[in-house]
Amino acid sequence: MYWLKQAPRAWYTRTDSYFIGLGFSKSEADPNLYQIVVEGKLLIIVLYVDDLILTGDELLILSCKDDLAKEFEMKDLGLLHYFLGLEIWQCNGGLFVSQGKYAQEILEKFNMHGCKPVDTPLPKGWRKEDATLGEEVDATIY
Amino acid sequence: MEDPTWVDAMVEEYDSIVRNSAWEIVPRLEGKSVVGSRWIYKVKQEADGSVEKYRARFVAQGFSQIEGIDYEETFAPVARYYSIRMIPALSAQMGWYIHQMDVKTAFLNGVIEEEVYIE
Repeated sequence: MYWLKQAPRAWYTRTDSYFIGLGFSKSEADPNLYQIVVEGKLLIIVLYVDDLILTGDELLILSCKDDLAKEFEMKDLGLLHYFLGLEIWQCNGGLFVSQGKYAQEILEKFNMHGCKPVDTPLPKGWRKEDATLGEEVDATIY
Repeated sequence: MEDPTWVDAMVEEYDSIVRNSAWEIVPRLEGKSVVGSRWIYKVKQEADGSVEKYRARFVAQGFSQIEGIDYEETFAPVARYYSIRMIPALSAQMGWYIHQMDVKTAFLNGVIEEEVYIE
């Protein structure tokens, strides 16, 4: 049940025993990072609540995705293209990353999406003494 | 709540709960604390801002649960951000592809140690 205080731990315990049961080893630095080596090939999985990121040997990834779909009710999102504000384009062994949508959302949040870009985001002739005349803002939103 | 889009989303959520045997109906017991519940509606968006999915979740009002009485410990199963940043870096170096999957009903999976009463 969502929003029950125990739900996240129950879910973690379930997935953790699944991966450990398959022979994955868990990172000591991050309990949501798993890896397995099969016939010299590596597969890495990162768990982020209900999102799974897989990388490594392509055949291992595909067979692991099949196994996961049998164990849990899952949706295969294919190649990773958007995660936690990070946009990723993957092609021909290369990778391009950007945070365009994330930046747009921040601009919209602060009503600055119509603003023109400038090299130095300060008014002309501004002195730091001028800042003391400004209104107090709520610093916690930043 | 007559919009068929949301009715469909609620039916999908209800079916998931039943399929995962997340609950059974019991008579109200004296002296047991009962957690309230409500529906949450959310429009999920793609990276380009288009509508990906209409999601209805039936959730427990967990804020009324008391640590030590209704549950033992809270926990968030999130990876560290540097684990996530490491993935594209390593993949670019090794020429790997990165795949993504999501679990439709993560928190309906898993067994809770304590008995919980929902209304």
